[in-house]
Amino acid sequence: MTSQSALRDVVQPILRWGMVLSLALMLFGLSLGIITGDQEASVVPLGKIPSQLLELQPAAFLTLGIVLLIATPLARVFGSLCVFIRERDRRFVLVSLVVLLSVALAVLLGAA
Amino acid sequence: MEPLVLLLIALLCISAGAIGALMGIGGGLIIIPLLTLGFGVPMQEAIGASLIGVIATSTGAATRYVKQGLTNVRLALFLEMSTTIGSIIGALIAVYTNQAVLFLLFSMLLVYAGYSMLRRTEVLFTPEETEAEGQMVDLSCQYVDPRSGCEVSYGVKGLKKGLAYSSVAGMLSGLLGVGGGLVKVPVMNLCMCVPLKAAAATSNFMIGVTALTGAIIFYGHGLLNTYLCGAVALGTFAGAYVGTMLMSRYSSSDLRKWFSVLLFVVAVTMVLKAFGLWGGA
Repeated sequence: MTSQSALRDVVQPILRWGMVLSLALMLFGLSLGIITGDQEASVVPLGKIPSQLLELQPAAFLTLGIVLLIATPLARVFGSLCVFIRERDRRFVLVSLVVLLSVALAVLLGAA
Repeated sequence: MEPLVLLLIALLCISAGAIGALMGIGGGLIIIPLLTLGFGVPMQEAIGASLIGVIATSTGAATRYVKQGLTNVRLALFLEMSTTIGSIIGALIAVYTNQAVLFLLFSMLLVYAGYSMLRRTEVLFTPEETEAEGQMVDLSCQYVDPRSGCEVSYGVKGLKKGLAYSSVAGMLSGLLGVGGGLVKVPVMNLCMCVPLKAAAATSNFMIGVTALTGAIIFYGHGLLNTYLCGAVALGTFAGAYVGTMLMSRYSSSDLRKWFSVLLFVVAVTMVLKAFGLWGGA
């Protein structure tokens, strides 16, 4: 059985960093938007984020924060999967894979 | 949006984050009516912002709950299998079902769960006791109660029942867009014998994964309002922190009573919704 502490030591930093980074980006984006009076509120597509970040567009910082926030729960499932693989906990490798696959399926069906 | 409006939204979302973190629910129940009824935000934008707020509540609270051991990570993953699949099925059949009837059925389920939580006392089993029963997987866990400082070590029972009921929880959230946590917490607490604080922390942790699929779809369709999402996320992050502090101050039996009250209140709003008298989710 995978030890509780091994899982905690992987999952907790993922959550903390996900929170800190997305929080910082969103705070910066919001402040920048308020200072510059920029009203463009639509999310920026993934591919355009880097160039718009360089142009200091508030929506780009906010979008990157949102993307990191969305990615955090997914990253912790991946993180747990890695721990289960390392500890050869076969049943839970399977459980994590089922969760990841059903998330992927839900996104594919929802996007269609 | 005006900076002052955004600030007000962020401040009001603190309550959603706090209740979400304390009770193990997402907080969409509070965020969506707040935005649509309170600020006239279009429904779709409100749902998108609420999904982001739910992920923020889940992540913000879990950073503390995982550290304290309150979150049972293995149990969360185990039940996520059936909630995610359940929510897919729910979303697929949503178009063929009568929403008003579903809301009424859902409210009856909530009243039943609330009544059971008030009437029955918490029953816990040690990991050795559940292990002797030969479960599919061992989900036992231990944590130090942040209020009393006592170490609680518990085994988890009724895994098959838990999987079945959480697929219903997932299906309901796919069908109605609400209610995953409201069903999961009583299922873990009553059927699987998980202590209430651990059930709430684990349910709150799971909700991040449930909301994530919806959030990706909304992002892909460009349906997220960045400023609104930012304000809601900042408020719910702060609220989640407040919720985890409150969790350390109250006993499980207090929380159980409040959770039943929450179930009854939501049941009433679901009945109102069934008759078209409530604008939120």
